[in-house]
Amino acid sequence: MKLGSRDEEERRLAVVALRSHPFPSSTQLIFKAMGDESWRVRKEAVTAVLKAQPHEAEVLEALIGALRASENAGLRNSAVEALEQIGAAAVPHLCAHLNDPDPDLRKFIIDILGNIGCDKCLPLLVRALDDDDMNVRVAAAENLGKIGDERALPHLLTVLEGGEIWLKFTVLDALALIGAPVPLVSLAPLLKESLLRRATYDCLGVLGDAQCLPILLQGLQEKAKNAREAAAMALMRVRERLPAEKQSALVDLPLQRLEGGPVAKKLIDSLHSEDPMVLDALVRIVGTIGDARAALPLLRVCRSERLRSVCIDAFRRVGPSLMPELLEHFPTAVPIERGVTAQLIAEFGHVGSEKLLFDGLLDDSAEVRRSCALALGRLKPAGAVTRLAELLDDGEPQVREAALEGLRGFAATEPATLSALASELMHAQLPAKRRNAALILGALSDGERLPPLVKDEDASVRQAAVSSLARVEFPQVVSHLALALSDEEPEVRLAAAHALSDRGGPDALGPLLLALNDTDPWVQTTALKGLAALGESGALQNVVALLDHASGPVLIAALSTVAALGGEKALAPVEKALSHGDEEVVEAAIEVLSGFGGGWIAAHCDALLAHPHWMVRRSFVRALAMLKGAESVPILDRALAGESDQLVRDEIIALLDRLR
Amino acid sequence: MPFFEPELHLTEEEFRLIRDLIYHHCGLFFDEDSKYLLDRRLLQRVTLHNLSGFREYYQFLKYDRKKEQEISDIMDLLTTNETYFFREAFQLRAFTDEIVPELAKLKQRDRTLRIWSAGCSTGEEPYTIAMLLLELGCFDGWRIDIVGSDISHRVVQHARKGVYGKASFRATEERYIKRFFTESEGGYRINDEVRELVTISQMNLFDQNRLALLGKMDVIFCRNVIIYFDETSKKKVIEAFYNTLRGGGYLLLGHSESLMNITTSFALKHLKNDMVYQKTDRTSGGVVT
Ligand SMILES: C[S@@+](CC[C@H](N)C(=O)[O-])C[C@H]1O[C@@H](n2cnc3c(N)ncnc32)[C@H](O)[C@@H]1O
Repeated sequence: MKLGSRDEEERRLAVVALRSHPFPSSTQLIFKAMGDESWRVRKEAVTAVLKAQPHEAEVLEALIGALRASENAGLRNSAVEALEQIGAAAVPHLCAHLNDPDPDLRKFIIDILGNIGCDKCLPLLVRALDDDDMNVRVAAAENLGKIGDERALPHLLTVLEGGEIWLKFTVLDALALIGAPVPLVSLAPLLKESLLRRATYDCLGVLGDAQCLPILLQGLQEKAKNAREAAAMALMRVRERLPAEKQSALVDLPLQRLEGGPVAKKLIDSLHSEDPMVLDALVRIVGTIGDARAALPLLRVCRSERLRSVCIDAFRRVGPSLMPELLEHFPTAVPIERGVTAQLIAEFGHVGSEKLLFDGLLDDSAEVRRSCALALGRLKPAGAVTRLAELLDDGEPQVREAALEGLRGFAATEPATLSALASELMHAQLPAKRRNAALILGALSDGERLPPLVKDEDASVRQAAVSSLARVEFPQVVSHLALALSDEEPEVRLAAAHALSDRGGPDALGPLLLALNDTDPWVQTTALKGLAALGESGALQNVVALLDHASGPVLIAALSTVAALGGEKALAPVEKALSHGDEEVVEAAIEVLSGFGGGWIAAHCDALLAHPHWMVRRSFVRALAMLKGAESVPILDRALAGESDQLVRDEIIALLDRLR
Repeated sequence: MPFFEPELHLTEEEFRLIRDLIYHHCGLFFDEDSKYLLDRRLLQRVTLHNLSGFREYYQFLKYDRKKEQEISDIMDLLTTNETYFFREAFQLRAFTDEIVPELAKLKQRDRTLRIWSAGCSTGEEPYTIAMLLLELGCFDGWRIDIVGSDISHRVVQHARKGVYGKASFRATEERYIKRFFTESEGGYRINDEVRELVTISQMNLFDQNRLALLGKMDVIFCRNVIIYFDETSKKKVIEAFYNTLRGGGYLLLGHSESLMNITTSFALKHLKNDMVYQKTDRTSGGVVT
């Protein structure tokens, strides 16, 4: 096998073979392969370099030397990749070359340092912000952003006072990446420069507070589309960070004043954007402005599943004034638009559109049939019951469910029609129909016809009937439910446990205690929750007895139930669960204990901060901050120093911010 | 019942818990960009099971007695099961024209041929292999086992049923349909002659215990499955394949899949029609760590 072969695979295998030779004797060849024309071969060579650990100074210097290979981009990229992967060990060597006369080399080194993310080289990168070469300065700013160390902040802000637009542009991005607050006085002047506006708004979106809202509202009037959209996104991001009462005064009211005007029109026209993040912000803004001209543009945005729920919110805010335009568009609308329109007809109680909804029940699209069925259930026009009943045989399950849901809406207004329908269904051959009967009888609170269905041969019918019983009042309900706890199907027993828990009352105690011994953990869990809600302290000893052999969700529910029934005095087993092997259990114990103050923290602090599961550590620091307030700052600092999980780190940083 | 908009949203934390759980179970890794996908698709499951939210759903996935079934159901929601008969023709030609003749010679003594189609989705792949072998017609008196497996319960049922619609036949020559299918139930049903060669079973490629039941294989097809996996999972699965293959056996991956950076224990063999991986007989080598 030869490195000089014309066959890519042969060359690759040659490099693989080199791995078994001592590195010094093969360095030359491996370097040659690092510049091979095939990326497969190059990758193999980089792997070979990385295998040779630790790295001699000569090797590192040779890799750095390869960065000068301006005529062979492949070799240079391989060297970059290798140096980045070598990481900290390469840093001193890299730094020693930051004064090299070749600006390209300096730039490469800065990029590599940034990707290694080593904060030791921070001062060197800061110094490079004053490099003679523009590209090097820009790279320095960019990589300071990547490293994300706040100590770079004052230096970056100084750059903003200078003159180079391109550099300032990069600094703005870097500031956003670092994410630490920046004084508005440093940023506001940049808006004078039209090229910097987009980046400045982006930066404000990440860092800004209430103070920059006037600037952002003004930014909605920007002529340039990208600046306008950036201002819109920033506005909504800053809004999210405000307390609710300020959101409306500082953002929503000023937006509402734009209704009917040219700015609103421009924003509505922008709803054509492709970028979902931009659209999300614009839809919220347009919805708040409340301008009916937005009807069709919003409806089109609804086609995207991702944006549908913000759009519907926007529709709600604009209100019924947009209905005429939506209805006019209906005949040519795509299915999803027809579905949304049907929903809005129901939400706004729009009279005169019933025919449209009835016709919609025959639509080709299941989505439209479903929406129309639900809408009819809400509006309850005459004649709808029969039509909805027909849909119980629809081919699509989601349509059948919607029809049933719609029908149940008529329990109060047309009980007789519904009751006749139930009678017919309850004697049907198909279990699915009898199940529908049970659910309709539940909506009718019919205590007379439900009991036979509780004994149906089909488990899904029994389950529906048992669930329906929860809402029905008649003397033997509880005894029916108790009996259902002995059903052979766990689903039916589960429905019975739910029903008993939902009903509550003294009669439920006995059956729920029996359900504690069910073989199905979910039945047990439900019974435990029911007992906690009942609050009969007499049940405590049964629950404590369960703790010894319970696990998973049963144990979790039992811990809260013990606390709910026994209060502070009963917490010993909960504290014991803090050292349970299942992280879900530990988390639940933390939550339960937190409800009774912080007395337990000291004894378990170290163990929980060092818990192997990130979720436990996260819950614990939350509890710590909540229960101990400012007192917890030193512990949180210590936790942050030892924490490697990003999500937990973010949490601790946020908590510290709040406490300081 | 909500119209369109979900009331619940997957939090960062729940996303991570559920993602990690799925990852450890079956190697599928969802990055931050897929949070939205998980949010939308799994919400239906939360509602279906009448759960209060994603946290409870996570507990369900972790503890429920039907958790295996549930995970297999969500596989269906989260991955594509796209497949069709005679997919990747040049590779199949390499199989019939080069690999099979070699095996036929090699195994003339014990007269058995064992082929595994791992991640076979609705079964088109194992049935294709069976049809090709029947077409070759030189295995009279041989024992031929073709095992098709997939993690998804739903596709496995479909594969067992063996009835296919138009989309499955986009690359099928008319003569195959004539010879191996009968029209029925609004589709085409695969004939018993083909069916006899094929066993379909539900199997998670990460379930070591189940995989051990398979026994040694001469050829493994695992096409368009590991694209969903990250490097660690790929390594795990490929190692399992290595252990399942007889020395000298072949591993056929999909078009866009390779073992680069995953293992050196297979040799890339250049056939006339395709490049395939072969388990070399030497016992050294192994999965790159
Ligand atoms: C796109 S299909 C490929 C079908 C067929 N091999 C082909 O190439 O046409 C991928 C299949 O892999 C299955 N799969 C994904 N992860 C799996 C796992 N961990 N174990 C078994 N099957 C898995 C999926 O259920 C899906 O049916």
